[in-house]
Amino acid sequence: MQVSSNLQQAAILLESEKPDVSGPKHSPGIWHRFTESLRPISQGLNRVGWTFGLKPYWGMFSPMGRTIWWLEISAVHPEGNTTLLPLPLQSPRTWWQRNFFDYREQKYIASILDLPSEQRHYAEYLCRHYRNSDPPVSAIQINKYWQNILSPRQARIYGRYLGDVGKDLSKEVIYKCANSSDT
Amino acid sequence: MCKLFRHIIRKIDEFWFHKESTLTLGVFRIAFGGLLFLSLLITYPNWERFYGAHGLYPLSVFIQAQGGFFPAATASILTWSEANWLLWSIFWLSIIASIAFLVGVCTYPANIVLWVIWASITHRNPFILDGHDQVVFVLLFLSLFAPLGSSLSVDKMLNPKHQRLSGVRTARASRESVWGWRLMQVSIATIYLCSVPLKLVHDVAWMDGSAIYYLSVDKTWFRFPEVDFLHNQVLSIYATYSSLVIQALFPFLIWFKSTRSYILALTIMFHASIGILMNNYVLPFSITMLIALLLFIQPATFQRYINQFNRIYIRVHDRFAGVSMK
Repeated sequence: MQVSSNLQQAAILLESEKPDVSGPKHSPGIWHRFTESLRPISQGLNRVGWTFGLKPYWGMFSPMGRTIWWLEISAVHPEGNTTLLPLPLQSPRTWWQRNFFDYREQKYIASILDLPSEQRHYAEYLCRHYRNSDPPVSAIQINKYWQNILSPRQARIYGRYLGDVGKDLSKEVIYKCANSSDT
Repeated sequence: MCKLFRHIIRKIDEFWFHKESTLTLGVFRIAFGGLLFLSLLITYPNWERFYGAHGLYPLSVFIQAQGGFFPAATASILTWSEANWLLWSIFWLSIIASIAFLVGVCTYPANIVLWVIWASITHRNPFILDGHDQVVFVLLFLSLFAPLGSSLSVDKMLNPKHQRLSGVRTARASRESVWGWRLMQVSIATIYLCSVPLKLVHDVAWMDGSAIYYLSVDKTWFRFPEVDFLHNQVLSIYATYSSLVIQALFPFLIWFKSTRSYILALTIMFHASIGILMNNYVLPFSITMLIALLLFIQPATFQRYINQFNRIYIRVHDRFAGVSMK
């Protein structure tokens, strides 16, 4: 007990001897306090602007992609085998689906590409959607693939425009369906 | 100095507030209404999937992301209930409102309904948004301040004041202050004004002329990635710089009578080529921008086309009437 109290005292002493690296202590200036007081107003205006659609971003294709990314989404069955799900961008589609109804799919996939939480929501949706399918779906597997676009100079040298297809192993994720028997 | 100042003030006043025929706005409303109708209609198979409580972006997650039910409810009316009937009622209401907007029946209420629904779907699922959604959102909001129903509309035809003046039922355009129209034009010009510096700052490919090469190889966005000729470097340099020049010049040259038709023609060709060469995912944006460019065509030009059409119609009508008389 005594040892512990001595250790505590020593710790307090050491703490008090630490050099102050935080710089000179100033009370917040009047300008700082003024701008801080305006922060809720600025946040409120931002919110209003967003609600009314007056905060658009017009940087379409401003950074041009150097890599083509895509997802491959499969159903995992209780026996362990997988089948590619009949989804837009990865299965044969009708002319109507391709030209009219699927036009938001590419944007959706591009948006969730690096968002595991959204991929989980998508997987949960697919679990619900294919709940009654035969054979039953016990999990959703999402694989991420990529292919580099060679620069014009590299393309001239190698005689092709694209690099080899790569599979991002770190992004291979299996989401178990909540209703599956093995979860 | 004082004279110059007065001249500038007069020019600004004229630019924003002079009275002009609303024919351009009538043509724009019809095209824009058609686009809204089709955009909403083709969402039908995915409506529940995109915006449903148990769709791609579950309602509970959306409410959590918005910081609670109240902020979520102000952002989107689709959050007011999990019930499917509300979701589908909003869909059918949007279809009815877009038809009313197109033909000009209760144009202003239809515009409000469309704006509220568009805001709701835009906020409800941000992961599927593209440039076309943003442009439509801005245009729908600014349309609330422009007399879109003042020409080529049923509202106009049924307006008793107008009938008293003209003595006939007609949808001919009236002259009204242009400030709402100008707001829409300025917002479209701003898109080009912002996009060029952003391109130049964000990617060196826009500087060295290889931007279109990268785009032409990307099967995600380009319609013909297998066509070798389209990956040509000289073609890429030409297409990259010409697209930058067109976008950079548009916000300035569009306001002058002598340069307007040239820059408008170039910009129409620019968007049409994007629509043809790029994938279907970009097509709605190209179509939206082409419709937005209608706002820059003078009412006199549309009047000339309408007069020509009327002459042809009367000629054909008379010929057939003559045949039936014989």
